[in-house]
Amino acid sequence: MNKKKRVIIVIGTHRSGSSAFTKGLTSMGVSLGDSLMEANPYNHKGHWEDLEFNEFNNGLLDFLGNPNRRIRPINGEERDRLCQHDFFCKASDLLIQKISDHKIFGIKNPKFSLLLPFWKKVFHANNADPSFVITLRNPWNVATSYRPYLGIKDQEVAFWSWISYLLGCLEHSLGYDRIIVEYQELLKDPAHQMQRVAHALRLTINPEALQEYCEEFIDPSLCHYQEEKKTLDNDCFYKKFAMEIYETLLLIAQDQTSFHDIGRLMHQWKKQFLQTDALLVMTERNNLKIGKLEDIIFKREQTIFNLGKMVNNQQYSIADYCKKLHQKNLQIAFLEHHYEQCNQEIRLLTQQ
Amino acid sequence: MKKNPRIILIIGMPHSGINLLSRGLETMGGFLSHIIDTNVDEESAMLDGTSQSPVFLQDSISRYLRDPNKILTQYPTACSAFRGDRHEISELDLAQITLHYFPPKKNRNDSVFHSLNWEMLHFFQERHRCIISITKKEIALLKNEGFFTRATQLLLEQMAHKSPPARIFHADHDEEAAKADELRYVMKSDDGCMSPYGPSKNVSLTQDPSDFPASVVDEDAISELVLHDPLFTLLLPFWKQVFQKCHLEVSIVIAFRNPWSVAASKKEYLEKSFWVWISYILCCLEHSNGYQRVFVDYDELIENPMHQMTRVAHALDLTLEQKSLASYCEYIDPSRRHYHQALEELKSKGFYQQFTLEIYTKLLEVTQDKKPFESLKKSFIKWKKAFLEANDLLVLAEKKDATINQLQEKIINLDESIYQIQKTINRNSHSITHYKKETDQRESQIAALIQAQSALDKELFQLRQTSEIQNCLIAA
Repeated sequence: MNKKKRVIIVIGTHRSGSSAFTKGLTSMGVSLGDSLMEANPYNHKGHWEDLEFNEFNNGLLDFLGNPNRRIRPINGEERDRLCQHDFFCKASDLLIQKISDHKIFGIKNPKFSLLLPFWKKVFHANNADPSFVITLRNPWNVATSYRPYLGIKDQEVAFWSWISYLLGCLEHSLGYDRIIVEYQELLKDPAHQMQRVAHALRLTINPEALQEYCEEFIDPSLCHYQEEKKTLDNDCFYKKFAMEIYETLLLIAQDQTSFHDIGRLMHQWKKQFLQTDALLVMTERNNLKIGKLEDIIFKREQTIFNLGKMVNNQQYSIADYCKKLHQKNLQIAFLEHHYEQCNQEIRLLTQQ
Repeated sequence: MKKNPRIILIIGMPHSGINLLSRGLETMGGFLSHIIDTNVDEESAMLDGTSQSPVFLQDSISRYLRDPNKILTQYPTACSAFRGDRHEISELDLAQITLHYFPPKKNRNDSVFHSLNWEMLHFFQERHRCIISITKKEIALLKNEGFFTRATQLLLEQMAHKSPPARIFHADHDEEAAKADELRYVMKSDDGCMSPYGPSKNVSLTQDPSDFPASVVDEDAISELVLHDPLFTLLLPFWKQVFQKCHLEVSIVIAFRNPWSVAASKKEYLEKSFWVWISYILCCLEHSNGYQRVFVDYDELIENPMHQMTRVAHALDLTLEQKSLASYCEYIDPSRRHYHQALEELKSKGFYQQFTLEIYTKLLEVTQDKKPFESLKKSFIKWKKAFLEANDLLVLAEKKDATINQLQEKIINLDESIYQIQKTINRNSHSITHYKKETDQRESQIAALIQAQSALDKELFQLRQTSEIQNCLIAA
């Protein structure tokens, strides 16, 4: 019987320190592949994110009609739609291609948090054994960091996305090896966090690689938005709700409580979240509509720009023609004048 | 002790039968101020936040004039009064008669309420107020902008002119007055038009004949002003303060309808429709608290208008006019109800539908007099809590609606710019063609001139040579 291939999936919200954490997985013998996204101003030290999985997940969300404005995880009906389409085979091929040459493969992509119902089926069908690392960060910091990164302008959307991603991660990682890593805790003591992860996911740490990671990779100065446990104005329901979830999950990340202990709370959170489900659908649709309108505006502005260029060229042509015409007129005047002079001369000569 | 004048406000979500209910109120003698007879599209547009300023005016006279014989035959005295010694009645006479007895359904004064409501709801530009009721902070902003003063003045003016011109007839013309009312009702039924005033229970339609036609404002004669406009619902916290300032008694009739039917009759997303329904109902429940109030379900009204009107009359201490009521009941045609689902057929999927169904079921129990209004008190607290948890997303939805509107407007402007630029391009193309043609002509002209010059040069050359030879010969 084939032994199941281990896959470590790093999930959680965008901007929750998943990149900083994922690099640490290499100190536990986890391979991240060689087709990684390049560093950029948002992640100076790299994303440690597989380009092909990212592209594939974007394709899945695109197929469902809401690539970048999705807030809620996909539901059963959407999962089935993806499976009925040839995405299932493509996902299986991609997974097999990626994990076959590696003993343990690590994948980081925040969009897995929304697509887990689909991917779990793919993992199961392809004899993969997934374990999950859920990265956690204070929702206030995530919301602040979201703005420049994802262009999410609405605080409500940022907070509800945070809630949605986290609840999706918690729900769909149930029954698998899983652990929560909090960003500030990781920055404070990366070695301890890596040991927690290694222990929870049955991995073996390479001490030298870990030391290199802790000393040379982790750089607390890269954390741009830091707030201590928020006592800021949690005046709205969504802020209170997000902070309640964060503070509870932080306790798990600090090993003060366990996933098992929050089972009832999870149920309650899920229920509360479902109350707003329809409104999140509405928000997603509005965002999608706004996105489409912005695209139209962009195209119209491009058209105006191009037409403006055309008008400029025409005006240059007109000016050019005017100049030419003026020159021609001068030339004609000159020729006529010369002609007249010649005529006069001829008349004179004829008279002589 | 003199009783304060009373406002009867008909509120509720659009598509809930507010208009139908307001017609029903005519059977109780309220002075009906027709804010706007919103049709389905206008209401939908309002909810989408996409509608432009409503169009109020319509030429009701011309509609009445389509059948002048009706007036001539049923109203001979009035016609002769206008006709005087003339044998023929002119169109102008007919128009005057019509105006006097059947004023246009939306006059200037009436429309201003709707305009004002519209203006207030769209005052907050960053979000179109179309889902949730205005907040205390927003009321303060409206007050700062002078809306409170405007609303107060408007209401006082309207109250001051609330009495319709009393119809004065000869004592022996009672029958004719009755006919006038009947005709007015027939016309209303025929074309869906509603008169801006209805007969008051306190007004005698037969009075001194001396100076017909005449207008008499009797301040004490009518004590009710009926206003109906769905926009009042979201603005109720504001208007309550206005009513208080004007020392008005307030009674509220709340129209509601099966939310599944409302959703089916509208073109927007189900989720939005249901949440808007919840929002309107909770708003009505919360802000009508403390006033004389009654809920009327649209389906119940359609199925048994007599009973529902009796309920309303009883709750609002009004007296039904049996004749009008009979006409009203006859007028209601259940076959015109396009969307209807019985309670037992409703299937709720997801929280919002379950939530809606719970509210709807409880409201129905109250409407069907199975439970008292007070029974909703506990449920309301629970509902309000659940609603508040969704409030921020509803506010966001309003903001998004506003953004969508702004973007759509921007696209329209860009399209206009593109159109103008294309016009410029066309003009320029014509100019270029013209200049090109001119240039070509000049070039041909130049070529011809050069050719002519060349011939001339040859001729000149020969002449010069001849001249030189001659000169040489002369010199020799």
